[in-house]
Amino acid sequence: MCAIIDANAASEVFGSNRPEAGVKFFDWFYAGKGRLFIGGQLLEELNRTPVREWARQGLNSGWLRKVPDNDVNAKTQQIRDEGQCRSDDPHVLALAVVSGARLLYSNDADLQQDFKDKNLIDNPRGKVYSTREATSFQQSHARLLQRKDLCRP
Amino acid sequence: MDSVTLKNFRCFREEQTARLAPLTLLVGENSTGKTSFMAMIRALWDVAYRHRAPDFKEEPYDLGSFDEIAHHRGGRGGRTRAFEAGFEVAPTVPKDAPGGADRRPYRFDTTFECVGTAPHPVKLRVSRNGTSAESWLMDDVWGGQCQTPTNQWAYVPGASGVRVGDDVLLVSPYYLTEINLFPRVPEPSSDEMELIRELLVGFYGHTIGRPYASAPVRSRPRRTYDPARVSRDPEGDYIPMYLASTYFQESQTWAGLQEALVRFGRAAGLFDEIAIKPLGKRNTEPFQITVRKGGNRVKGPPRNLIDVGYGVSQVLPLITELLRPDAPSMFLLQQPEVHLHPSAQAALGTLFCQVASRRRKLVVETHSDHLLDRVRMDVRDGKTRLKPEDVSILFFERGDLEVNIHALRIDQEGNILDAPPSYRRFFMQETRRSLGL
Repeated sequence: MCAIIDANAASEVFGSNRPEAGVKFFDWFYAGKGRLFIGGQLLEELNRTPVREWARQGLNSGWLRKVPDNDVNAKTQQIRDEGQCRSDDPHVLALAVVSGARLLYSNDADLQQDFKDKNLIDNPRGKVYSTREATSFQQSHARLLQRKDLCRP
Repeated sequence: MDSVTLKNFRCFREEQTARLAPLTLLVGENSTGKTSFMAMIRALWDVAYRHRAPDFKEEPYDLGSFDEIAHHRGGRGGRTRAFEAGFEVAPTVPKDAPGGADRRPYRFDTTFECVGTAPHPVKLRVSRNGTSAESWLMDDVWGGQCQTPTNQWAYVPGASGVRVGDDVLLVSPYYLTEINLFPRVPEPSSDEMELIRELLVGFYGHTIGRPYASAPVRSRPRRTYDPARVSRDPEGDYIPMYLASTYFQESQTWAGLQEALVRFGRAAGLFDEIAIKPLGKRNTEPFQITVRKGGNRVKGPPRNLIDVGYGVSQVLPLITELLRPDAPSMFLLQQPEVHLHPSAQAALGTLFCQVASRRRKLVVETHSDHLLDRVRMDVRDGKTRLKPEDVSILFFERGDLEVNIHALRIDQEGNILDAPPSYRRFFMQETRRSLGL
């Protein structure tokens, strides 16, 4: 399973004061069930979050995957030029398109809408893991982490 | 060798095949069979190309007698009565060969049984594309059989024993086309014999040199060396003599080697100059090895090898062996990073990336993250001719009584692919704990 974490939500997964849903998300790839993708502008943003402490271990262990910055940046520009994106995070959408990751951990309403937009992300459609409505670990969270089809084939 | 297969050998129970790339890194906890794996690579070479039973106690490995080497299944299973190993090797195809040239690999397999107290190869098999030649030994009697897509025939065992003195003679399949001593049943056609001849000439015709196996701890430096033997040994005892001999007798080779050593010394932060200091006028007299570290403005004094950090004398045999012009075509290196600072470990990773190729394969057992990281980065950043597929990471994972080998890959971005969840579990736990999560 392939996931992306929005920089604004990174501390919920890697920080010291995490909600239950964030802890479970962490446990999910800590158990080797998920892969986290980074690259482009999001890499720079995550570098200012607690993800940084895990970067080397993640890359060496194989659960953190780096995507070519040039590819992500080019796609970001394309999404921006096409003007279909509501949020100010086209780089996150670009990373999903380039890497094939289809699960996003984010609490940004606009980005969530964009990520689920079939015109922006498809085959398979994007899914969002969020703590906007509940910080506890819900059935909806569990179902997302159990899916095995959230990577582009 | 492009891959190695093991079964019932030491801690490897199930048949497992591990790919050997130009640069193969063996990683995993202690006592997971990494050294045994390397010992088998050399043993296979001895059986296949030296036509002799391997010495599993030859330095730098000491795997013990058959009882220590054959896999113990535990409980009632006891110890297995035989173990198997093999390898694949790609044919030598000229660069200008047409695209349709047959590049399918040759395969060599052998079975070991206990003879006396030591493992002895009792079955040898060379095969490719449905054609095979096999020789075997049973109760001191030699026999064999060949197979082509159209026929199969046996060499009726001779009644005479093949024990020579205390040694059991190893009859290579190579001789199957040469020996007319024993009847062939049924008699093959000349075309079928030609297929077998092509198989054997192809396999034995491009023998690679014997792998060089280094010891995990290299010899201690001495203040003064006396010229002596220059033949290779696992601890690198001979390296000072080799350096002096090159210095005295082959000035051009010495200049090239010295430059390469200094390049590594600088990259690793170990030394900026290396020199041979003769203590007499003739090359038969004692000599010293000195290194010098340069400051920003002034050079430091030349210092004897014994007076600088242990890391220098430990790594010197390895880098010399890797950089000398007549370097072996295969290296088996155990923990080359010992005594080195992380920056020097990383520089060693870069050196491996520069030296490794399809013609010079490196199999490196390491516990160094710095070395592994540097390899990943150099491949990703194009600082080496190695492509991602030229690097193989073999993760040795211990189960209850056996070990599994996981083949990991790296991609263009230096990402580690195909890692099982257990890979680097310890490091993850330590990071989690250190961050208080």
